[in-house]
Amino acid sequence: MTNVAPDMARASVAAAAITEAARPKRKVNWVFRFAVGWLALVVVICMLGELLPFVKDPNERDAQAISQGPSWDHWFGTASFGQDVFSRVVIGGRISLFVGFAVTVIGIALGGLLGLLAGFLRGWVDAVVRVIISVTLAIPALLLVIFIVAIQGQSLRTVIIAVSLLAIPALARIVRGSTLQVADRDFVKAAKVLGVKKLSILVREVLPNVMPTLVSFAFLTFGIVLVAESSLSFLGLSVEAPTITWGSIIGEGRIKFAETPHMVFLPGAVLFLTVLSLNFVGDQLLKRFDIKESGI
Amino acid sequence: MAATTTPMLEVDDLRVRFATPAGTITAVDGVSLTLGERESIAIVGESGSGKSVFARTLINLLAGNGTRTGTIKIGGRDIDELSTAERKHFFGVQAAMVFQDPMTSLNPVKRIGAQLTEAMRYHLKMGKEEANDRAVGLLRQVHIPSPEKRMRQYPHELSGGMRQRVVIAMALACEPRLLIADEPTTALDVTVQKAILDLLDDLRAERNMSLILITHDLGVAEGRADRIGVMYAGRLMELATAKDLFADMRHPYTQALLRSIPSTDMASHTRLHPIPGRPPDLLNPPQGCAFAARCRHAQPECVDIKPNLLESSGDHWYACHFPVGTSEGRAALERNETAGVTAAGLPLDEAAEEFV
Amino acid sequence: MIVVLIILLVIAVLAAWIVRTAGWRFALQRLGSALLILVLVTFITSFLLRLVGVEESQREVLRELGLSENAQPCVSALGTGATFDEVNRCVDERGLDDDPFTQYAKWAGDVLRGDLGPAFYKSGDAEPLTGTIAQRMPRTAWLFLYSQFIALAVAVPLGIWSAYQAGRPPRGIPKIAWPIGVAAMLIVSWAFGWTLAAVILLALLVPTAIYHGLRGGRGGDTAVNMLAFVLLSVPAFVLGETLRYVFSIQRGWYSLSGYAPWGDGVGTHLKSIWLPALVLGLAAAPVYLRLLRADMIQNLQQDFVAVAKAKGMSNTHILLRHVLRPSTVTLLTVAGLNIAQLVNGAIVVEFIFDFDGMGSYLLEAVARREFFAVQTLVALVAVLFILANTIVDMLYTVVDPRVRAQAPT
Repeated sequence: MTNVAPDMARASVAAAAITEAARPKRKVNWVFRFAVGWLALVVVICMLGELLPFVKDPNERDAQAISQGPSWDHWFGTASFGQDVFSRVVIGGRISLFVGFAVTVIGIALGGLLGLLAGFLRGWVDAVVRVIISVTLAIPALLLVIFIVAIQGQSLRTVIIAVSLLAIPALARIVRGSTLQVADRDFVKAAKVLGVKKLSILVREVLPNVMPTLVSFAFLTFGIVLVAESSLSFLGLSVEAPTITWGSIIGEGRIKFAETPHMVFLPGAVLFLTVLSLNFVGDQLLKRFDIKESGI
Repeated sequence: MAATTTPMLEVDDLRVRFATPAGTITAVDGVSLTLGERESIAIVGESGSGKSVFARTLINLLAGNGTRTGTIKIGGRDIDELSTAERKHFFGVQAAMVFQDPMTSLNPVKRIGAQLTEAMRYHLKMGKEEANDRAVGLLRQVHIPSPEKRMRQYPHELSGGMRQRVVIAMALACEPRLLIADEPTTALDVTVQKAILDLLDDLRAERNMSLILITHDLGVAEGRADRIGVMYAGRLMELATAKDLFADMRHPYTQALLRSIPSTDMASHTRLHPIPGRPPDLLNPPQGCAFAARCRHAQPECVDIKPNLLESSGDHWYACHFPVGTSEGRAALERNETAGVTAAGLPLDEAAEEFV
Repeated sequence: MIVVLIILLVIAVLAAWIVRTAGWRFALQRLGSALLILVLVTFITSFLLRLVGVEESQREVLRELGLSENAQPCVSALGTGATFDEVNRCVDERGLDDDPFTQYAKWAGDVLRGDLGPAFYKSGDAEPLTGTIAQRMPRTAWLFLYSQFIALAVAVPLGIWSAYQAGRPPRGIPKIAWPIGVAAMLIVSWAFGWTLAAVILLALLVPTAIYHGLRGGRGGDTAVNMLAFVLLSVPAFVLGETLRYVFSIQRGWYSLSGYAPWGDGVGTHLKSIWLPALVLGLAAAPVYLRLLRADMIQNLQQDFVAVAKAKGMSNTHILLRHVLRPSTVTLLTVAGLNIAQLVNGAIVVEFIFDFDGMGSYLLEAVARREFFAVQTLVALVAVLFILANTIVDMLYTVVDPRVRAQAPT
């Protein structure tokens, strides 16, 4: 009796167990729903902005209410000149979310393309992409962005470009790893043997299988970019005043911290919950698609 | 066999269940067994028959989602009644285990020496020097050349057969009286298999150990064990001395197993008979005999009533309503052959068998 | 000069070690890729430097003033009050009119000779950067060291423990505990304000984890995981400001009086650095924790764990002596890569706590448009990064003897 038989038997049992587990017997994940709900809420409120009855003009000053804590009139309190912090968070959220969205899209598009090509074509393309990745990993991300923004001026465009420069290699790395795995699978090899054109293998076979990774990491990247942009504006290096972002509200609040702690903690909490939700959704998607994190 | 002294191992009505997301699996279903001192027994069964779970349960290696009922006594001590202090130095000392795959059963980042000596230092409170000396002796006993050098090597520097010898030496470190070998040769080359089995035999004789040999291969069990137990779907189907089992088997499953494996005694071109069908779904075990659906003897009774493991004559036990080699069994088989189908719905014509 | 000597010494020792453990081929390969990255990183930064003032309008203005059209970095560094002579000298010193390669070669040559250039042009007396770095580097170095210590002190025990608990049957706590906890939090925050509530929330998480630990089971793993996830999602500056508010403004346990060296006494030294180190450490801890936990869980399912259990070894022994070591490989990799991340953190944390280290110096240099200093600092970080990763590579061979047999690529 050879060793193959029990192995095969074991494999079939394992396969049976997998189909068993895959049956829709999943419990409702309330935290996941809450996270998605929070993200939807934040996006909708920030998009609608002034159209909503409870959002005031973020720059309107109220001499009667200076540096006040949260109240019914001002949900998140007021700033040093009596501006409504809640409205500032809503309007500032637009810029923060826009930067996050734009960078994620650019990162996914360019980083994804680089990673796909590197992982699929291998050879010199892969070598070049790998060098780019390891070089950018060696430069502290924030430092690079600060450098670029300092040189090019603090405009929305520069901030987006600078932060994208970080997102692209990071995503390229992940997509490259995932592509390498997919390209090694039998159906891709079979397509190659059958003489299918490279481009069509890439689009029809590889890309759909890399998509789950890409989508999951899109959420995680969004969270990281949001933190990066807020850190920049917190340091006063992002889009210049009077444009408001979440980070700049916090940076403003910390100056007279004892008087306006609500300007740090409440926008901070909104930022934290948003990043937490993004991370959670990304993490859950990774789990559902059964993607093993490549270590980093 | 070992009636005069305390048996080395007494297992009474052992049941092991696993809670899985899909439901509860009963992996071991009421196994009772007695093993005398210096006796060896082989447990034979196909994959998923519960033999490995049975072996692991004996040495207290139950996975987190498993629960056990029934009693296990090793050397007369009920393992559930050990005090915390006794328990600490019980497994690994009284009973030890050799695992299936020597490639994975050694820690890749620890030196052979450290892995060999750690149990001795922990259980027997030996000093480093003493443990090292003894480990070298153990390696010599399992016929590993230049043992001093091996002590300083890492597992990846050794061949598969060599590693399995190390695993055996490791199991022997605290001089256990009961050795459980779970498919010790399955992962090895055929040429090495025999050497390892011979080694186990010799060591058992030298050290007066009792041995439980778990295997899926009746050929391995033959001639290596005093008694053989055949396990199927978590139950013992037949338990007899090795000679009896081969010469005078009672259970249709044992017969089917033997008919399905090639043997050198067979004339060339002898047709092998695979067992039709698949092992039962352990999530929804059949009400009656677990083998009924695949059995050529199956009668309505078999589908409804679970047969108990009963002693027929002189230490030969089997769990079957219509055993092979008895008039009931022959009658049952004849009835099924005339009908062309068993009571469990298994077609009996030879042509169908080929395509299973 | 001393700094360069020390760095060269460290590199020499590392090189010797690599050669000894992995052989010449691997050592050369390793050295080659390290050099390549170093050159590329510094070249990219020097390229960025050339972007300063590339707009035609700026060049026009400079030409009209009778200055070199490449003088923009010097003009921004010297400020509006600078004389033409000063600007010209600076352009000359920096070789701004040379082609990029000559310029880069000149800079690299200076750096290799230990001359990192003046720190700030604006301050007139132009203190050399070497001296500033020598003064500020130790502060950030201590900050890094303590923060990594804190991160590991949090991550390793919790990671081991939660991985262990993950494999044990759940013995969950009564479900009613959660709504009661939430209600209690709401009452506290209504009655006493939300900062206290936040502190209590943190204070609740820790006892919850301990409570779960005493009960055992999968719930403990979940609690640790939640904690890690929360820490992972807090932006470092939000965490930093929160802790500054609580410990510095409200409680006064940390004063922003500045860094005290070891010479002032251990107590004073630690007092002057513990909070920023804690923030940096807590930011890194969840990353390490999750990696270690995942690797531990994977390794706990290995056969050799069952073998060790069958030998009757204790759970503690198995966790610490058998599973921990092979589970640190990913952790090491990430700790190495994390150097760049750590610099990001240092920039933010040093800003929050007015800590005069390299991070705040970087910010200062950027704010003053002193791009020359920034370029050198980026190069320094790259050296640090490469050194750290080389050390990590060597630690692999210590952790996993199989690596020694085949040199990794």
